[in-house]
Amino acid sequence: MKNQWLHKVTGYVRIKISGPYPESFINQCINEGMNIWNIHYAGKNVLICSVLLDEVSYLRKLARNSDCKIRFIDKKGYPFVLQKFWRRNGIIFGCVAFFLSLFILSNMVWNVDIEGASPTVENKLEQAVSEIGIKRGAFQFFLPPPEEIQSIVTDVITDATWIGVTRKGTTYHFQVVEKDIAEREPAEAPGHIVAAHKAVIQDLFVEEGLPMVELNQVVEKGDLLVSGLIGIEGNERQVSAKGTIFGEMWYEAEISVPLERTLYAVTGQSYRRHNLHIGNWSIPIWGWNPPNFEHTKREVFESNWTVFGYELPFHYGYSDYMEAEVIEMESAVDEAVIVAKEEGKEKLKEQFTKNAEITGEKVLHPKVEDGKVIVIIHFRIVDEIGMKQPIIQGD
Amino acid sequence: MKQLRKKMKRWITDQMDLPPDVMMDLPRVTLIGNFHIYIENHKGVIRFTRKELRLRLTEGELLIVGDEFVIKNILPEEMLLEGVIEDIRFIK
Repeated sequence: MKNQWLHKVTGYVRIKISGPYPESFINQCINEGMNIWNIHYAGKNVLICSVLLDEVSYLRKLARNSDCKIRFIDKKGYPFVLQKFWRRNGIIFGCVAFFLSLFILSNMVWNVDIEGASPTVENKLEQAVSEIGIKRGAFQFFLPPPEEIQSIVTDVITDATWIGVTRKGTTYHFQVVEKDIAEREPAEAPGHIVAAHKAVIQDLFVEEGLPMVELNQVVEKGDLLVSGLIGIEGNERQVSAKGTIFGEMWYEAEISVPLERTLYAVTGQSYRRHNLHIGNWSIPIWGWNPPNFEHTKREVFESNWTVFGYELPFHYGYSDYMEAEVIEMESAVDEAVIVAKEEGKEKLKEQFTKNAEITGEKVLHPKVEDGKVIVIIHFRIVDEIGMKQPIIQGD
Repeated sequence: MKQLRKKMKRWITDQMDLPPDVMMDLPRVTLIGNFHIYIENHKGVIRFTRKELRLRLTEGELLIVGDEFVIKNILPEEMLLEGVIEDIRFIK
């Protein structure tokens, strides 16, 4: 026996057979090898049964032979459902037309944006661009890619140093950087360069002005390094002294390092709780009861969900609860000194410019006190020591 | 002549221990509870109503009486009837 659902695929009809002897119709059907099923008795000399849609054409002959009348009372199966849909084909055509027009319209040029150009350049660019074919209503399929447009446009517009072309949806953006003559740096007020620290001059590079010191000379804070007065004495010209002067300085740092530190090490036991974050709220969605460890280290991870570059107001995250053990670490004095050196360097570098360089360090004497190691370190640092000082008129 | 052939068939079936429904074209009726009846080797429907189904067999007829009968499926040799079956009778 066939599966009943196969009938639904091919489609079938319910028919009403009426006549003096409807059983003969059934017998003829089965003799012809037709599929016929679900035969109901619907009253005297009336039977209702199902027949495959493909075999409907034979019914007429069989009905005539058995002296029965046939009436179709129901249509079932996919062919009829499809037919029903087809009757409403306006919806299907509408959907197709909508997507087609959406596709076509979203692939047209709707806007040309020119940014940062003077009116003349803008006009020129507009002309050049419309020659390529970029104007409102043009199809993007027929336009060259933005990189190519960029190279064409930069060739045509000679007044611009650079033209950036980007396509955002249906808009073309042209970002123009025009050629303009570099402006002179504003004249600085005349001034000297003086020392900002007590130091030994290591390197001297004077762009403008009269150097007043030599290499390896010790200067005090406030000493004149480069003079802003040049020319013959009595007839000097005031300029803004310019230059970089590196000097070596000394610095003493006292750093205390605790000998004992409490460290936590994770044992490997961990528990993960999954969260859903909505705004600032976090709702656990899995992992309800984290185990109680004696020491717990918690690590939080949050993902970022974005749609078209916009961050969604909700996202997924999890937090790991890791079991930790306390490890007591006794660092030896030697080790503490190394740590102190590093810490001292860090601390020191904060006080100087980026160009500062530590050229030497000397540990004076480590002293152990209350479980702490106190280290005094002598650093030698080379850094810029120049500082501007305006020339005061009438001085 | 026909009688002789029948006797021969019966004798062979007996001697060779063959299933009689295969050899002798007899109906095979399978009943599942009182709501499904599966009949093989029928020779056509004589009468079908809500309360009665009468089938032609090679020899005689098979009458099934009950209520709410529906022929779920029917093929040249077999059929499945559904309903409340009360009585199955062979009529010579």
